[in-house]
Order: sequence, then structure tokens, then C-alpha cells
Amino acid sequence: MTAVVLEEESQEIVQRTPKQIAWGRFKRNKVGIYAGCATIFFLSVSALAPVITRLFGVDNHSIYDGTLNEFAMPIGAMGGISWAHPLGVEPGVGRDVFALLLYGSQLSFLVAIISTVAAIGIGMLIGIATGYFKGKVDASVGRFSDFLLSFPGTFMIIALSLPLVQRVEAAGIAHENAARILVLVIFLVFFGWTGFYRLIRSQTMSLRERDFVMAAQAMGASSWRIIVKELLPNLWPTAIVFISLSLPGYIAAEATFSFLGVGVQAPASTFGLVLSDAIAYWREDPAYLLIPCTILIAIVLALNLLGDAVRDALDPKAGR
Amino acid sequence: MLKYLARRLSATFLVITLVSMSVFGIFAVLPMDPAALTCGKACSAPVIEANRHRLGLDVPVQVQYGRFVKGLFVGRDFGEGAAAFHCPAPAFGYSFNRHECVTTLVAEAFPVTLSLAVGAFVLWLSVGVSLGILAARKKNEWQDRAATAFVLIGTSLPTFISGILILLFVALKFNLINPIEMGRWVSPLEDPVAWFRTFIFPWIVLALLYAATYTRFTRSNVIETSTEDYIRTARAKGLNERDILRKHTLRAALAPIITLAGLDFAGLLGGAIITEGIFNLPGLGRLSIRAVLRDYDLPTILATTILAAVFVIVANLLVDILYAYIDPRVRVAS
Repeated sequence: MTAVVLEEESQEIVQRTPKQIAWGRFKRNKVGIYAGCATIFFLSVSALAPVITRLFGVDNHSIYDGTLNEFAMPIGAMGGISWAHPLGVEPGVGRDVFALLLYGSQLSFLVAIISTVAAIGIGMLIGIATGYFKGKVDASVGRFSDFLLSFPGTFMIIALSLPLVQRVEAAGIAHENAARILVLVIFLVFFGWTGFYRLIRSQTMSLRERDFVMAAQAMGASSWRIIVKELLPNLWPTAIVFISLSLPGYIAAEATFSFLGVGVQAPASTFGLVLSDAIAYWREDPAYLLIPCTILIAIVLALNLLGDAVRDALDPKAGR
Repeated sequence: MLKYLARRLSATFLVITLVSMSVFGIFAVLPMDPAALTCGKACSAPVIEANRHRLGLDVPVQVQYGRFVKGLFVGRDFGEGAAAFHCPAPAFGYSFNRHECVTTLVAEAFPVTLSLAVGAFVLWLSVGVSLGILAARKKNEWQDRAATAFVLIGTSLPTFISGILILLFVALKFNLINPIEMGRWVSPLEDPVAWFRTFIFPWIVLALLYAATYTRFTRSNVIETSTEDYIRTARAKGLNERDILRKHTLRAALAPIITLAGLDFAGLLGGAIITEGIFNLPGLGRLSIRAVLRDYDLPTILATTILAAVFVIVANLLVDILYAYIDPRVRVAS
């Protein structure tokens, strides 16, 4: 759009792309900026877990002798917090909680990011295809997604993961925790893609009736070209909003499943595993329960706030 | 309307059949042998084979499914001769590990889950919707900010964390529930006070999560509806704000919430796995999770999975019918 500049208002009107407008909106949202910084902090700290733990002189598998008393409880206040063990020591075993949680957050982020990207990739692909081409395939995929939604997803994941992990291990695809993570991610994606698919499908259906798509069709553009050049650029904002809003959900889901005993198992650690262990010690060592709780809530909260800010920036009408 | 009803009913029946078939199919192809899990340490090949026969697992899966459906209508016998065990209709199967008809187990667990779901539903709907309306009416004021903070906390707290925190640091810390009696089922008809004490904390945990979602949803719906032309018309003809809200805004804004509420409630009827687990409530969620984690008790797993799906499908049907009743356009469009 070109702006008509009146002579008396010689102030220059600069053209801005939608990207710049969105970024401008995002920059004005202080909460969003803080949440973004916190998210980057959490992500980089967990990605650098090996380096950071080395700097602190701890690791996630050593058992630190002399940190537990004769009842196998951490010596010292607040679950044995000290310079050597900044977040205390694991009661019963004697590993360093800081290192456990750092490596645990790595796994949580890994599961959440892979699941989100895969669910959104599949949802996008199927949503565009069915929304653009319509027809019988659209009808049957729609029915299938309705069908999928009627299954009790959480329970199916719990009931099926044990035997499926065994099958994956027997087939030699992956072993132990790798197999468990693989199965968990597959399930999360399997039950998770439908929401995004519906959104993209309905948007594609309304976009394909717009004038610019009709113009492209009239000029003889191929379906592939229309999808890639005309539809995709208009669908990206939706995808970005959905990614930033689903990521915290998947982090929480991973923690929930590992808490329930599905997913990663000891000696590896995740928030869910640490928390399910910590319940037994809640009276004697509440810090061991409250510290992981606080960190997990902080991560999910930061991601949620960032997601809200991204949504407000890209789609200012939603949620207002 | 009758035609619409008939079409929706037959579609629902078809979906239930398909879902139950797929659940059967999925569990049949698993590399698990339920017969081998029936006898623990006493297992030997002949015992396993005998139990396989008694459980009816020695026939192809389609025959098993046929027997399952027949059992639902006429009841079913497990085993032969003196060791035979009869489960009256509707028979969901026989749990070998518990020596009990699955229907009995489900019937024992269902009131618990129902109590949990109804209480939580009332709590989250009243809190969520009223907070949402308040936030929309006082947009950008402190009430709205407080509601936003509540939404953020509610959506950022995974149920297992809010459950643990409330159980340990509120209920047990201040002796508000007795750890020994925790989760013991008391009928509200026998002892309403004990029933309330058993369920109040689980209700709060479940409602926290849902109320947050409903607050957000109600708020944005009410705000969106308030900008409609017919609201302006109502205001122009001199109606007071109270009547506008009650008669015009809420009617339109709350309709989509019926759908959401119906489906969420039905989803809970299938068992709230995490909340029931944390508070030790003997409901459908705990029944199914124990069936998986303890001994992979296939008949119980099949029954609870299918039931949970049926609740959602039936709720879907009811919501659709309700909608078609409210809004005639729905009947014509579909």
C-alpha cells in the first residue's frame, strides 16, 4: 500500500511489512519481552547442561558421599543446599539435584520441541491438502479426526506405551529411555495433530476463496505454486502462534507422563520423575519437592506468557 | 427434527461400534499375553493355556469381539463346569486377577468418578463463567487483570503439581483430611459431610485447571458479542445494562460454552486419572491405571477405554441435539 503524503505533513510515512508491524507490537509488550528472555535463559541453560554442571563441579550420576545423614536425608538446611550443591542433594541416593534437573530439562525440552514441530508439520500438511483440494479425502480425514478425538488419549498413551516400548526394543529401533521417548513422542503427535489440522484446514478454505488466490488460478499457476507462494505465507502467523502456545502444554504433558511412570525412567531424570520421587520425602525434605515444582512452573509460565505475547503481536484481535 | 435425530443417532451408533472395534483390534495386536499375566509365579504352560481358554482369548479377535458384544446384551459365562463363572448382562468381561466381573468393578468405581466430575463441573463452571463475565465487563481494570493472573496460574499448573501441592501442603499439613481414611468412598446419601470432605480438594484441583480455560473463553466471547449490532440496538432502545447482559449478550456468548462444558464433563466421566491417583480415589481413572500398571488386566482395560470413549461420543450427540434444538440453522445445514 502506498501512502499519500500531503505536502503540509512533510513527515515521512515509512512502509512497514507485516513482520515489522508484528515485531513492533511485540517490542512494546514488556511482559512478553521478559517472558522471551526467561525462555531463552531456560533453553540455553538446559542446552548447555554439560558445560554448566562441569563449571559447578557436579554431574547427574555421581553419588556424593557425606551429603546424607544416617537416615539418608540431606545434611543441612533446605534439602542440603550449599555452594557445592546449589539446589540440594537427592534424599535416599545422594545425587546433585541441580545436575538432575538440568539434564531433566534437556529431555523435557527435547520431547516438547520434537512433538510440537511434528504435530504442527503433520497438521499443516494435512490441513492445507484437505482444505485446498476438499473432496472425499477431506471428508474422510475429517471423520478420522473426529474419531480420534473420542478416544481417551491420556489413558491410551499409558495403556499402550508399555507394550509398544517392548516392541520397539525387540525390533532393535531404540533401547531403554530412547525407546520410551520415541514411543511417547509418537503418541503425543498422534493425539495432538488434529487441533492444528482443523485450524489450518478452515483457514485454507477461507483463503482459497480470496481474490488473490483466484487471480493466481486465473493466471494458470499450479496448485503447488499457489500453496507455497500464496497460502503458506498467510498461514505462518497461525503456525507460530500455535507453536508458542502448544510448547508449554507439551512440557507439562511430558512431566505428567514421566510422573505417572510412562516415559523416561531412572537413572535418567525429568521433572516428573524427580517429583514422583519427592512425594515420599515431603515432610522431611520439602525443598526437594518445592524446588523442581517452582522451576517447572516457571518454565511453563514463561512459555505461556511468551505465547500470549506472540499471539497478541501476530493476531491482535484474538483474545481481546 | 425427527429426521435429524434419526441421522445423528445412527451415526453415533456407528461410531461407537467402530471405536469399540478399534480398541479391541489395537489391544489384540499388542505383544502382550494377558493369559500369561493371570497366574503370577504359579504360571506353567498348561495353566496359561487353561486360563487363555477361560478368558476366551484362544479364538480369533473378531470372535472375541462378537462374544464381547453378545455378553453386553445377554451376559456371559467364563470357563466351564464347576469353575465356571457367570457375569450377568451387561457383561464387560471377567477380571482374572481380581476374580470379579468387570461390570461389578466399573459399577463400584463409577459413583466415585461421577461425584468427582459433578462437583468439579459445578465449581469450575460457576467460577469460570462468572469470572469471565466480570473480566469482560471490567475490561482493563483491576478485576480484569486479576482474572488474567488467575487464568495464567491455572493454565500453567499441570494437574499433578496442583494436586500434590494442595494435598501435601494444604490438606495434610493442616490436618484437613485424614491420611488413613483418604479416598474412602462414602455415599453422599449416607454421610454428606464425609462425602464433601473426601471430594472438596480433588474438586478444587480439577476445577482450577478448567475454570482458567472457561474464564478466558467466557471473557473473549462476551467481549466479542458486546460489539455486535443487536447489542447496540438494545442499548439504543433504552434497555438497562443488566437486561442487555442477561437477555442479549450472555445468551449468544454462552452458547459455545455449552459445547465445551458437555465435552469436558464427559471426558471426566471416563476417569480423572491424575486427580484420582493423587487423592487415592477409587474411581474409573484409578481402576484403569491400576489395571495397566499392576498386572495388565486386559478385560478391565478394554472396558474402561471403551466406556470413556462412549461417554465422549454420547456427550457429543447430546450437545449436537441441544444445539439443533436451540438453533434451527444447525438442523438445516447438516
